[in-house]
Amino acid sequence: MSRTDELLVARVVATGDRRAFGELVTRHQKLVRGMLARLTGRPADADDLAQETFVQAWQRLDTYRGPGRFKSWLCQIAYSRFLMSLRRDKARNRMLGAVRDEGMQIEQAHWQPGAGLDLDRALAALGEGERTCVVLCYASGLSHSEAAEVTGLAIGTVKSHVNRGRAKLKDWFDRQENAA
Amino acid sequence: MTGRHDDFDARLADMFGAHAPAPDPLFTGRVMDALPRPSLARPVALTLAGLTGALVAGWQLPNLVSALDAMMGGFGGLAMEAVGPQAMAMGLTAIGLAAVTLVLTRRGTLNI
Repeated sequence: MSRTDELLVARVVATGDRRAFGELVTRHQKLVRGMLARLTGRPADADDLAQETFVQAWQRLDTYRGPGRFKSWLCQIAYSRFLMSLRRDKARNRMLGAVRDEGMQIEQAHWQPGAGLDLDRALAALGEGERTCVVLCYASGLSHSEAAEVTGLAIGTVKSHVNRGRAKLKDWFDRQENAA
Repeated sequence: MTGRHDDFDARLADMFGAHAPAPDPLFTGRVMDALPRPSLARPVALTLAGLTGALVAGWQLPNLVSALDAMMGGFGGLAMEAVGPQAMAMGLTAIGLAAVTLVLTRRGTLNI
């Protein structure tokens, strides 16, 4: 019988068992890397952020409190690493003088669609909030309330971001099919 | 995800699934290598403190035992005369049980 996430967490916290943590990484790496790849639009950067996410999870594992799902706790850390990387990039761009337009949105400066991926191009059409909520709910399989917990947004805001984002994506794919 | 209401939702979920990165054992290895190693300072300090304590205790123990023996001889004799051995044993048992109950209650493992 496979051990639950909570059992593995308890084992890591109680004994510092690195192998148990390795099992958690193996179990959830697809979720975290996938979420960050869709949020950043850059798989290589996403893997670096995912690594930072797991290292931070290891350091803060004793702060994990059930009964919420371990995966949404992990997504919360991944999302905060993503926001930090946005700020870091923004500061670096500002220092390099690359950002001339002060009113430019963070996501426009940061987000680049992945080459050749329809899904990434479609996601590029969404606003930051819509993209984040759509990725959390569809790619990571979180519920609206879990996505609200991860992003710190109100649940109503998450729902409207998801609905709007979904409608835009549907429209984008319909247009692609009609054009083909 | 809640509120899935038509085929497009399923299609969207499939697309995200298809574009998700494949599980990579190398990634797990990189993460494990990046984890901070436990510091040796804490176990070393605790072991040294324990050894020092054991040395001091071993050095002072004969004096302590003889002092306690003298004290218990005096007090024990007086107590025996006053309450009797049976009552004294019951009293000591009651104090012990009360102490255990207090500890369990405070640790939240006994609800009374």
